[in-house]
Amino acid sequence: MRKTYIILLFLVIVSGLLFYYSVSSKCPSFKNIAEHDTIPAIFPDYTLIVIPPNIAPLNFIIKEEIGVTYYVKIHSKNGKAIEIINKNPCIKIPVQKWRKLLYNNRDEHLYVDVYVKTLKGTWIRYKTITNKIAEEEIDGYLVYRLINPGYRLWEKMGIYIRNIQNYHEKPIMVNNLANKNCMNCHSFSQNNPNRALFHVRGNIGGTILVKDGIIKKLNTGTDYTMSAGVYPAWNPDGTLIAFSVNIISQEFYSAGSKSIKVFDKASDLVLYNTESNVLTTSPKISTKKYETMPTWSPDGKYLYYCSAPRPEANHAIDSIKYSLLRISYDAQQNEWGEVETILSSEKAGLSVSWPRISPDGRFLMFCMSDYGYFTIYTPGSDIYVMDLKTGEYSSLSINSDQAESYHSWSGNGRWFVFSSKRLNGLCARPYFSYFDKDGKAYKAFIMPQKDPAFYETFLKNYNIPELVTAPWSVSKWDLYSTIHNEATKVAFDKSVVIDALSGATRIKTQNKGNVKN
Amino acid sequence: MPVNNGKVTRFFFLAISIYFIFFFLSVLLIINPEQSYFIQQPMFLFDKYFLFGYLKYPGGLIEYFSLFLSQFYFYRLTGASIITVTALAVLLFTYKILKYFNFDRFTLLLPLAPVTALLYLHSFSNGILTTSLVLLFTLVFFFYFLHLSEKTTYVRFIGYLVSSSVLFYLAGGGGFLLFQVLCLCSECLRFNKKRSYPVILIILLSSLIPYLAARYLFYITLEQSYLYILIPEGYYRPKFVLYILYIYYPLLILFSTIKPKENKVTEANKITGVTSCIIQVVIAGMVTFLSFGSSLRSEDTFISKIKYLAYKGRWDKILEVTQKRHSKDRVVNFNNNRALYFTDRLPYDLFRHLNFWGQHALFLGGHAGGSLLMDNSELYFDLGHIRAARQWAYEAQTIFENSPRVLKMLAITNVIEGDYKAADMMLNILDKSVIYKKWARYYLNGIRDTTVFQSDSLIQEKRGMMPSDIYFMDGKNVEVDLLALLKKNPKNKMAFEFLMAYLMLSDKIEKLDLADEIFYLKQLEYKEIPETYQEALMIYLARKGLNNYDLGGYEISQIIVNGYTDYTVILGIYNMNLQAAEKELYTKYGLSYWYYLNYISPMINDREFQKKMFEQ
Repeated sequence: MRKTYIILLFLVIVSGLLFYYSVSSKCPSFKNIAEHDTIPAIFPDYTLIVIPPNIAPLNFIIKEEIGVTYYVKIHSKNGKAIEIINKNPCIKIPVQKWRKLLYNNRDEHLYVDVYVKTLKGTWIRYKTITNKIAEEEIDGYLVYRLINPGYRLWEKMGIYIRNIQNYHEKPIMVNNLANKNCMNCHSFSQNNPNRALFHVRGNIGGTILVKDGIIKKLNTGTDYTMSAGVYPAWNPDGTLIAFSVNIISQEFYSAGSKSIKVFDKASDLVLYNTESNVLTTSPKISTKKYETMPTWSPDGKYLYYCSAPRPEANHAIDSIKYSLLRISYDAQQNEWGEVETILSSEKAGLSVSWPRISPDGRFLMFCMSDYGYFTIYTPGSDIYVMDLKTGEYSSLSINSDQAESYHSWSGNGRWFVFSSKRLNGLCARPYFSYFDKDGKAYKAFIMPQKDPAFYETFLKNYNIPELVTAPWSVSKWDLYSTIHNEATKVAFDKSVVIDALSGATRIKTQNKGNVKN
Repeated sequence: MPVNNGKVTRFFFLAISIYFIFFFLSVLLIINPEQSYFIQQPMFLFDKYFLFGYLKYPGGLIEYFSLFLSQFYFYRLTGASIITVTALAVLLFTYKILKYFNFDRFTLLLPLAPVTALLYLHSFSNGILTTSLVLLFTLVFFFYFLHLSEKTTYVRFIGYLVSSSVLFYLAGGGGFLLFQVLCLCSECLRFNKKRSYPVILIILLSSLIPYLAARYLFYITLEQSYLYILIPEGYYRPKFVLYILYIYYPLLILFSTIKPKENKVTEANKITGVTSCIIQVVIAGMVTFLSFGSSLRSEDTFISKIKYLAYKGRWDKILEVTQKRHSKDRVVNFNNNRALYFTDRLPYDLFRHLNFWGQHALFLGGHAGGSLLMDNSELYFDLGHIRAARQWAYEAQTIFENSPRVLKMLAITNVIEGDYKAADMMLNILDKSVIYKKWARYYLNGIRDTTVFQSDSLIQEKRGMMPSDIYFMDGKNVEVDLLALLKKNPKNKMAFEFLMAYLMLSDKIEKLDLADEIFYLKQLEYKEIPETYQEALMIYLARKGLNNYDLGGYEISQIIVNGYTDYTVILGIYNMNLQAAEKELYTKYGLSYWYYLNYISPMINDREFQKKMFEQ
């Protein structure tokens, strides 16, 4: 019996030593090493980028010569290097070590050395990948809608929040709990998840408004608006929400690089007061032209929006181009100023959409495409930035030959996220980019996933990526209950002499009902 | 086994064996798992994210397991084996449960009844394996719970709590509900004041499990949490027999309390035992035959068969079965029209078949939903309108997320369009399926080395057919699509014949100029103008008021000219009263285009048509 114990003890010690040896001696002995003077091809492309110190590990796959062993060393100026040795090219970085390395090396370079042992037994060392760790953090959470890349139909969709400091994703609401209806246009006031809204469509339709712990369902459709609220924009103090009201249509191309065109047959702007539950508008923002895609300046004094002239009958859909306008607004007095053109489509030669102003108020980021505003289906859509001090604007270097379609700022203005279809032209993915004080954007990188091959088979779009500063705190049950409750009908401002049915003088119509998108 | 009696036992096993041989052969030869595969499109991916998707709700795991098994329906023999083995396992556990309750009467009939119900459920091509697996797992859990009956109250208490929670997560609310009711029945039957109260209490309290799960854990509704598999979900519609099956087991347990009189085994009893077995076999056989027969005769089964035959390209067979059985279903009408084209009969026999749906059974666009989306996509693919085929397939993908039929269409259409990155994504998904790996690898290889596609006749053929004109497709004016196809390739026979059929069915024949029609007829080397086209030409000429016209060497036969004159004369006799003239016109011209226009065309005659179309 004692002999058995001794043998067992011996085996345990030997196994322990072998385990320790295999774990501790990460760095393999490099014999016959060949140097490559190029950086290795990796997927996703996490090379030559600036990364936030609080981002989740950027796991990747080495897309180089097939090897038998892969060795990766990630290091920076301070702290211990992370070493990974693998039999396959999929490199998964330990979260804790990564976090420590990044926090200890803010504003320093991050180096990634990649070695591949070939089938012949020789090692190849690639040129070191050099990335930069930024000083400033990115907002820790990203909210987006996941939906299949269909056009008119859907079955499953949901609005999700992802902790981008790790890989944890959680649904905010899925349409399984909303009678399978469409849900869209989630929006936050100044990256604050406690002031949020999104729309639920269909038979239980309404706008779900979350404000400082109170959840409401609103029916923003009135007798004087052509639809319920569509594209929203919270003002900075969270009391006002500007909405566009739109009659949206779509057409499919028979050939060529574009598949579909989504366009408005009419649109106007309205303003909803979350405290008085009143919807108002002005003849200045509800004209016979098309007004849509509102956004507020960070001081809340200006409402920026896109506007296009109402086209002639039998016009070509691809002739509609939107300009960027703004109007001042005094919330205390409920007074509108004069409309100013910030960037005319004639001057730009392109159509402007999705204006978003940096938190410091200096830069205006927007999309431009050859026509219309629904950029997700427009491969030529790119992101531009305008310096509001000088009025100069330029295309950002982060653009690709596929659609860049939506963007939002982090709370500190040093980062932005945008949707891009650059990976396959089909599914929009969220990309992050560092934006410095001088208005320069740095090479963008895709949101990291635990499995770096994730995007190769994930057949869903990430719509409307919005950065928020904190986790989502509203329970899904409360949301579910609210969605299934009756909506509170908003009142239309009686003092307004215009309706938002494309600028006509307000005439009350009987039993007209509301048009829903 | 009813009595410990060799003869009866042998007969029992013989009867069971014969029953299951019949069961297996019925599934193999009549139900045809390949057809079920086509209708259900089960896709199983060896991928952790695919698994994660099924861990997000109670019942997901059993769906996952069911998909793993039902992907092998792709092969008829393995499909039949899987269904038979599942049914056999259900029989075994039903028998064991009965035995546990010392119930020894109707021991053949009672365990066979649920098997018959399963055969009925599987006889519909959309009868998913999940329903059988939920039942099987529930019986297994219940059987092992029964074995705790001799244990202490504490063990049974914990045993129930754990097993019901696990079963709820594994098999969802439907299985859990049945398990709960069965356990409650069992406890009540063996009621013991000291031992039963805590267990009954926990059984009753466990009703909260689905509530708590829906409230705090999963993103599902209360209905989905409590009644998974028993309520409609997406395109799944539970059959009434499923509810009977769920009620059957609790009744069986309660029924088992009725004890027979004790009898000694005598020679007379042996004979009675055998007779009883024979009667039970006869009853089981008759019930099976009747239920199976009724499902095979159902319209659902017929439609599934037509869809399957169309997918397999067995066009002659479609025409054969639709000749024998007339159906007013839109999909049947649609596939019948396709079959006419593929057997070169469309220009000749279009009005020899019932065209209740008119042009809406030629194209399914506009109001297409559900599986019609893919039918429409495949039609456009055949026509060579790849962009439209892809658009409909993308719409289908939103509903049938992992359907191999959809993903294959998206992969191939993107390859043809040259959108290799999008195709790559579909192919990467298909590459994770054991069934489609080889198919996907061929195209993946082609994407890496596009010279492979240069020698691929299908890809080259379709690329040569795709319209190059850029216009907006609205799904309503289909003639625009067809004319664009003909502009690209005037020898696109399918586009021409579908254009003619569409214009005739929708009463828009004057939308194609006579000169163009003649041009295409010549391009496609028609020796003479097909009869139906001649009939349509008579209408065309009358409407345009053309007396002098050039048919480019073709002729309208005198029979057609005389027929048209006669048709109008008959109408004139009845003062253009269509109702009065119907009988006579039907007798003489019931299979003509003229008769279709006046009496069959849905747009002209049937005011209820739009309503019916939306209902479908």
